Amino acid sequence: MTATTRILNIIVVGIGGVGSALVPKLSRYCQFLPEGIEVRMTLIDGDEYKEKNRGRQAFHRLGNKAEVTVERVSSEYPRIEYVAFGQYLTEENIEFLLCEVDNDSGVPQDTIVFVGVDNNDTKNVIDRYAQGRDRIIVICGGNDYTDGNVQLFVRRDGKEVTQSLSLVHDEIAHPTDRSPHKMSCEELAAESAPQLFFANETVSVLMCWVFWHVVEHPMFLNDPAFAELFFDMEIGRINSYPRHPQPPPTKE
Amino acid sequence: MSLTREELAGKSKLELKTLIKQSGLEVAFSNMTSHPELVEAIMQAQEARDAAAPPPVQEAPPAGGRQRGRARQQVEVDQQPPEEDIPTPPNGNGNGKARKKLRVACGASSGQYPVVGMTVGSIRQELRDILNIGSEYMPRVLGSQVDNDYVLKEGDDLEFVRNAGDKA
Repeated sequence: MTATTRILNIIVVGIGGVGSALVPKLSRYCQFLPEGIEVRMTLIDGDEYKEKNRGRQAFHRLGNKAEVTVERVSSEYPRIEYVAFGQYLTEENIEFLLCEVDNDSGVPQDTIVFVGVDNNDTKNVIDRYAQGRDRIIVICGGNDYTDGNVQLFVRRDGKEVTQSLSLVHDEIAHPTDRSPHKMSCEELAAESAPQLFFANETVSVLMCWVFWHVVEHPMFLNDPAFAELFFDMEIGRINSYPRHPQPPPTKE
Repeated sequence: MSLTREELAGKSKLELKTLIKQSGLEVAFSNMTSHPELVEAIMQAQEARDAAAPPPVQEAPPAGGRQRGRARQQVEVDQQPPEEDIPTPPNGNGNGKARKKLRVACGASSGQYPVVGMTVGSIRQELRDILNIGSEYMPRVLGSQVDNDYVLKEGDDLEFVRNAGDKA
């Protein structure tokens, strides 16, 4: 048996159009990583798969999204230790859900939080939590109908390597929407704006681009060449942006 | 102002429909009208409008010395605006020298534009339709937030931060 040399503590918040597309991709990649890398994957979502989700999301039965998705992938990727948490992420449970894996042996550990939720309120909660951590990686993605973005936030040794989600995006700093756990049943049942399966898939693939750098290129995290990607299917383009922390330019 | 086919192709259907309404172009469309059909219809409407308009009065070359009709140096062809549509910079940089181009970006759209010496606010107005810049998008120069009165200088790189996608 090979000794553990690295722990990947992967947390996927939101198992909807993006999250349900992301988990199988991450799982397939992690299943075939070199021996010695221990992979734990926690799926978090309080929502349930419904028939109306079938156009964009893959599931074998109705039920809680986190639990059903773990059922679906766990037999195919036995190397990965899955944990399903069938509740929404809140300020009250975030410390418990995003904590590091118990690790007395001092093995290097990367906590990587994938955010695929459909509201800025939850992104704000995760961003504020991440800003207080010594070492964390947040990969946040979302889309509109045919365009979207993926943003990377990294803290290493208690310092920000990239700008936080809310520093770049004012709509995350000051969300006008609400997390699902704050909504009434009527609000939850209301129809959301239509989405395109391919846009969800694109977001999940771009999140995997970032994840690949995180896993395979340790130097990437010291000075990421890009920390935000925007894509637009209508004009057929992807743009990347660095998000280095730096002082504002001086006015002339 | 007429947009090129490339500029129109770079816009979403929603933006094309908004453009039709705002410009007063006579274009009939429905929800079933495809993106290429909208672009073609707008091109035809623009041509019809331009053909019906009186011939333009010959103007003296602008103070900045830029010449109409010269070949455009397109770095990113699909996003390049007509140079004659860029206003003379407010601080007198148009004194016979061609203005330097800087990268201006918004989401997945970007291009090189002669904007040195212009304020962020005027660039926002000028490139709003080309780069789909929302009125609430925050401007950043070299990654740091700036105000609309910031004047672009050589070496700068301007981004209007598009809102993050909020569906998943």
